[in-house]
Amino acid sequence: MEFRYDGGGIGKGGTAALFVNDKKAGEGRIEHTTWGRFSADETFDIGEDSGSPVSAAYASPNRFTGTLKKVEIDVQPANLSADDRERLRSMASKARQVMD
Amino acid sequence: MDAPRFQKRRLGMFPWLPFRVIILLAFSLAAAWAEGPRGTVLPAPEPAFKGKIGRTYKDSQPDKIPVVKAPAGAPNVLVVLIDDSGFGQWGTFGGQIPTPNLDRLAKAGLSYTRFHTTALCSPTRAALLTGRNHHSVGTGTITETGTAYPGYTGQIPKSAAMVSEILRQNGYSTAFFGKNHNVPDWETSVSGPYDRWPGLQGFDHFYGFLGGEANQWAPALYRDHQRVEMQVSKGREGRYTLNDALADEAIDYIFQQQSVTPDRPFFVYYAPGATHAPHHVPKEWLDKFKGQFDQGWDKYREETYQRQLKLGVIPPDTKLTPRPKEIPAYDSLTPDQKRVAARLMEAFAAYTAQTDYEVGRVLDAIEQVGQLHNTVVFWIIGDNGASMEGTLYGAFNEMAAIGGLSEDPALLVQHLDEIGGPNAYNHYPVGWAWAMNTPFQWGKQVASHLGGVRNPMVVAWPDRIKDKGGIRTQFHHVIDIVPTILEAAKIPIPTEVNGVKQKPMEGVSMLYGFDNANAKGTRQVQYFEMFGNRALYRNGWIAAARHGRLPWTTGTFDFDEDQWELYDLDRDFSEADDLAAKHPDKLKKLQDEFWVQAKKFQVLPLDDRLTERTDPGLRPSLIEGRTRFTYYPGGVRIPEGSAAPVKNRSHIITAEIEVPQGGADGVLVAEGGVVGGFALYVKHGRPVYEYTSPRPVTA
Repeated sequence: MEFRYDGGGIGKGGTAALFVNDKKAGEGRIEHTTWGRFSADETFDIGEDSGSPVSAAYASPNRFTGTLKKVEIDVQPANLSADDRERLRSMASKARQVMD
Repeated sequence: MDAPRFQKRRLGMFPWLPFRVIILLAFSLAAAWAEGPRGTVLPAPEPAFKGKIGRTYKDSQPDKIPVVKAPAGAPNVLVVLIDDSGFGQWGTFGGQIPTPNLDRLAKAGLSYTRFHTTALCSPTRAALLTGRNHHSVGTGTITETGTAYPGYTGQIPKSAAMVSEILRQNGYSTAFFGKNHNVPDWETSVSGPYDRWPGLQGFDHFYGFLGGEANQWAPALYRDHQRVEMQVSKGREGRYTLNDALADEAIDYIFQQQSVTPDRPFFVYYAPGATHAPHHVPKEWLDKFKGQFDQGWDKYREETYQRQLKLGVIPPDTKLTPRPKEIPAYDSLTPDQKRVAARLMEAFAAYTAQTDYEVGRVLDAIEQVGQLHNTVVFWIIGDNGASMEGTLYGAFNEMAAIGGLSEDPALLVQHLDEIGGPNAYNHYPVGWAWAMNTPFQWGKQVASHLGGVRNPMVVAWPDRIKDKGGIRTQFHHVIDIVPTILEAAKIPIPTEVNGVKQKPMEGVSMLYGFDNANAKGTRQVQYFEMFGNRALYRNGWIAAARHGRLPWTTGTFDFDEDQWELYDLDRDFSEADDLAAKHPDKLKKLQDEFWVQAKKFQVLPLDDRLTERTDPGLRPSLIEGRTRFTYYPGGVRIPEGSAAPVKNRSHIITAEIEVPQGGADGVLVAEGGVVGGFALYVKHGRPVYEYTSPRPVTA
């Protein structure tokens, strides 16, 4: 699955494309995304969806019935506007100065 | 050969009779060590061996293997901490929601009506368990918004051992059921460290959740260090929530512990996720409250205030504080908004009633094992006042509200019948939270005012407290619970625990008031601070400054612009009459004193940012600088903050799978849940990527 983020700030939309054995199997638009946290108590899971389900199309945990060898995720640096980046950076560096 | 000679020599030195006396004395000394006066260093130094060691057992005299026992008569301790509850919520304190179990405990014990918390979850919990102020133990805010200042790291220091550790090392069995929220976010993964998990903070057993809230239908639970799913008993599917499970677990533990060691006291910390959002509750409870809150929040305040006067839980001259202009009048709502608000309140009331019932079952279990008479129960109604985080008109998905979004009102009406159920993450409107905090101003987060920090508490201990049904009005704070427990158990406050010198205890015992309603209060000074909202209490007076940001909004404000108020709390129970203009000198003194206390307890620097502080870059991170993540089978329950950061950026997810003949379905990777998230899964042999996010609506 390749997710191409629109950029231009936080919480913007993007295009998701699905590939099976490197062959494109479908594509769709996601008009807006969550910029902060999805939830205060749910988690990231491989091979199942613990807690409550993301999708109404299945019931949790909906474990994968085949063999899952591994999942790799490659992330691009956040494609944020200069303002967004500056805001996050100044807060982070301020915090680090105090830690040092 | 040598040994018999040695023995002979000893026998020769001491006539037979005195020798026997010496042996007896040694044994009685060993017993005395276990039950005698306690030291202030934990663990206690190993006792000197008092037997005699020869070459073999034949010429040796054993000592007794030391067993640490609790002081004779030490009571069991049950601390119940309710989440996000207001002064005027539970029936016992005038609320409209019947709470018969709290009623019965109050009739058997004492009701404290001037008891205070910190105005927020993690801080109150840290203060409750350590007996120190929240900033003093690095918990000036919730761990998810911590910063790298000593008062805000989210890491409770080893120099403030929790009461669980002190009791455990003094012969108690200890167990924790429910909400933790004192493990920093970045320490909640399988990789540890586990230093700040309950198991290494003195709890023999833990069953509960680590974060700030839990989906009551599908909670992310841990049993000690092991992730577990909630076991729903057969036949109760769809009507069994975490509230049931926590009570079942606590009861099971008490039965087991008492079956094996009826003479060993227990310390049980019971902290349900209730009544924090999401207000999930089985339908059978919800149905009991249909149509009961149609009068709205303004009327509810009036009614509750009258009941409070009648019950005597507020002084007869108390005034009901008026509605601030920032909260809409109930009458100004549209009919649809009223329908939604009423249903959200019904769910909250049902959740409260269910919680009361479940705590009642735990009390019943203690009674059943014959221990209620010698159990000190502290039932604290709220770690802070009722929560105003549900937006002005209520939320179907509270995560939308936290993200600063407001939901489409039509969506709420459309989902009315799902409120309380597994598809909802419902939270009620600000106005209802304000009503739950009757007769005070404001609520959760607003540490400057009593709506945020004055939480009722009931204490019962039948063997000791004779003034059954009495009311106590001495000013106290949540840091005063630990010293009270230790005094009740006759255990001294330790100066050193596990090799670490302890910070001075900041709480003071409340035990003096158990026997004497009119005793002079032992707490003269207390600071309050949360997100810049601040107050200083001294000898009946309080100076208070509510800072700019309201709990349901975002943004940061100028601290110098804050307006200070002054109240004479001895004469003005609800903070209705601001005397700042009348007594400027008094106000000035208290303001100055605030800075002294703030410096002393690591409150500084003041920081009002909420959304901005959720940036994980402000805290240690398990993922910082990484762009490639490889996950193997079994990689589940990875905390969101420690998983591959896919937000606000392009990314590629590649799953390497083998599909057997006949195909395979199921989830390959998922993050989040009904509140929002993404899932890459296979259904009917076809791959699907699904992304859900609360829809931003511009009102």
